[in-house]
Amino acid sequence: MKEQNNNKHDDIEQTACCGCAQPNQNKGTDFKRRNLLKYLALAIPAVNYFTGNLALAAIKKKSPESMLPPQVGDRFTYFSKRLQGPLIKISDLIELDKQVLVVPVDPKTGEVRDGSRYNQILIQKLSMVSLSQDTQALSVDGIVAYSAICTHAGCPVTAWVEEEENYMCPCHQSVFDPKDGGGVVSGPAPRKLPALALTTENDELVVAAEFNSWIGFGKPPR
Amino acid sequence: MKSLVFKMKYLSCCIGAVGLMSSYSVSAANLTTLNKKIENYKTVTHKRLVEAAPEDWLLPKGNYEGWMYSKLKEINSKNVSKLTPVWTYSTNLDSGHEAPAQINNGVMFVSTPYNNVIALNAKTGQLYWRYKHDNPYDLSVMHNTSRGVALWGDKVYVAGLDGTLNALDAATGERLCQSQIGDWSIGAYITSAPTPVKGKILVGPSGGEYGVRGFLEAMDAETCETAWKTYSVPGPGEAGHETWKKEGKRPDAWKYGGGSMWMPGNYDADEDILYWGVGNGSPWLGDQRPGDNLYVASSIAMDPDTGKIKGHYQYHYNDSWDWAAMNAPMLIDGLKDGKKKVKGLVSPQRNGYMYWLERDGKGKIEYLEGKPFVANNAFKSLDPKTGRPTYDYDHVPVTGKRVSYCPSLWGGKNWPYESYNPDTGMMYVPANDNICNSFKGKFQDDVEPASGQFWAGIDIPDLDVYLADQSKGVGQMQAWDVNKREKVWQHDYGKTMNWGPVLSTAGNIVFSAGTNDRMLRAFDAKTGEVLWEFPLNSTAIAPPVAYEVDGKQYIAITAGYGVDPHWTNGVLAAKDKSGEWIADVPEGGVIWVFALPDA
Repeated sequence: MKEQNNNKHDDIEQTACCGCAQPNQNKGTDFKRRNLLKYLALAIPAVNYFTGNLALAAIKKKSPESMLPPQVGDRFTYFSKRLQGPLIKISDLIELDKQVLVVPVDPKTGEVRDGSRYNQILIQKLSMVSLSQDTQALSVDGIVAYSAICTHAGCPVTAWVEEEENYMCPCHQSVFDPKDGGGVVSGPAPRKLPALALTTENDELVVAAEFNSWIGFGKPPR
Repeated sequence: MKSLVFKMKYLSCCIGAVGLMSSYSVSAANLTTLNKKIENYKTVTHKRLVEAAPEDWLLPKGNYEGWMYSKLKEINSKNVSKLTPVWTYSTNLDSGHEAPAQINNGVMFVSTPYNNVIALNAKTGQLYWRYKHDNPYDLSVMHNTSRGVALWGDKVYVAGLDGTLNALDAATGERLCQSQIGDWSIGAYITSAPTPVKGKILVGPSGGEYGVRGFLEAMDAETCETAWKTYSVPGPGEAGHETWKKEGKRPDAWKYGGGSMWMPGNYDADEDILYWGVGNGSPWLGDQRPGDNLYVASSIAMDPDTGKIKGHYQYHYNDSWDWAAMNAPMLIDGLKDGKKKVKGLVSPQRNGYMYWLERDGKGKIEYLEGKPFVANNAFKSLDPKTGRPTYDYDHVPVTGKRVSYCPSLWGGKNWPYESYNPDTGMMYVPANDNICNSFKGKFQDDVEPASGQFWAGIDIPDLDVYLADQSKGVGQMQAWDVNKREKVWQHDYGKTMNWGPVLSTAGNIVFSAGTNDRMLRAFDAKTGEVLWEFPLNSTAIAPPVAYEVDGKQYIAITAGYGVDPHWTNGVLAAKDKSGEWIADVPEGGVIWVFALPDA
């Protein structure tokens, strides 16, 4: 059971994820580590395949563009690595199916903006008549998009309460209403889920505007 | 062959290079607010940790045996009614505060949610320094708590929710170096207190609800470099791997099978053997990972120098209930068959059974006896020789079917520490009975395991938590005679769960909080009589501790409700029809210190 050197690669992914997501004083160290990552990017998935660490096998270098928040004109693809690739079309979504976890895509470069966890987005097709007036204004064809990041403690809000057509956070059970602008129904979350206005182009879902509120939990960013 | 050799050389090269990056020095002065440098800090040595002098509380559980026991007796069952607060300190944070105050020669260290570490004068409550860990801006974790620090040499070690292990200068709080242990973005965040053993700092991440393969890692205390790392789920070619059958839809289930080692372990310093707990399987449904699934839901014995697993005991096979065995068993030498004294291990488990085990001094763990301490409807019986349970499959969760079971997924007892008192020969257990749950198992394929998404195999809105008997309460304090293996007394808290770790003292007192009425209580250790109680600002779910400064005894506990205790209380309060369940429990972290009035 003892695993000596062949486990050290765990730190690589941590760096890849947190180094870029951690605007702290470790910039010099992180810069060196990221450079080294470039040269290891090909070998590491193979190492991880042998050691059984699936998450590490999926490692890839994250560019600054991948960390940008959704930009106007961005498309979407699936968050799931297994499904990621195809751009999501309006016709892909079935009314009242569970919300789908997606990430933005730069349509010009094909860059998937999954470098920040704050880019995880929920999209779902709802009945247009069930949407509040404000929510209708943000939606296209009954499709709504919200930040997946819970405003309580930052967990992805991935559970679906089918009977009430609400979202629930699996961490602390905050419930949000996607029909009403992502408002809080119950639980510890202090504010609604930020919404993303949508439009469409060639049947593809397109970002129409920035999030209508700040992403995350705790105090607003300065 | 040449190609394979080349590939292996290439991989070795890369792995080595990566290894170089696993630790790094950092300049982190701006993370610490220094109010007053600690002068003449007393170095923590192996000898001091083994001796566990009563004036200090160096380890999260007080000693390496995991007893949560203090030899101090100035405060005792005759005078505890006079106990009074002497100072408090607000942590300026909400959510679940689960760390004990740890005291070294009159200096107190408390870690908080989101990984602040506060160093205080343990006599006066005056601040020395405060470290604020630089978690990533987009951090997300299920449990944002911290369960304590490790004290070793002249440093304080705290794990970050971001998966780091950080070495701080004990005198100033300055961060000296850190190591990346887990990757929070896949769900491998850390809440555990690190454990110091002979110049290494040991800690493992969470991740049992995220498809993370559990492990324990040892970091060199001086350099922050990785010394060893041991997975709790054996890989190909390792003993125990055969218990992960390559069957069904997920033949590679071992790769993301859980088994997080998310609580601090215990240590037999005489025999130089670690005893550690291993958590639940991932996802929760056992039918998605056929086999016994070693070392999920087990206690394991390990070599502290190498991390090699020397023995194990699995409490239940193919865990399907989220009944993690994360708490290490207490090291108690007791009677076997009522006569012969043997080196033992005792553990009240989340599955609702109390276990008496024997350790042979070389790592082998053998079953002696198991008895239920709360109602468990999933086990029909335990094999009298091995303790292996026989299951009632009506209460074993499976994929695609709604199944109910008791105790609930939070168990007959969750992480809050039990206490062993050698003076009374009793063990004190913070128990939860009469609470059950049901859910329909789900084959979750919309996201991958270890992708940072909840991956327990259930839909949270589908989880129903309920009382088996609405007229009865849940939380209890149970006292068991360790040698007779019988319950001596029980205190019923009524309509509340009990999330309070327990401290017992040579003053014949059992201290514990953890109930929704915010009380800190003192029980007579022999009889269970409530001798004293005091309402804190919020419910305390942190361990109470005892220490002494200038010859005076103090009791310290940090109040601060949050995480699972808070959520479960809300769920059960919403269902309550008796009007007895307190729903509104305030949050907010405050360190409370009590003492007897000066004569």
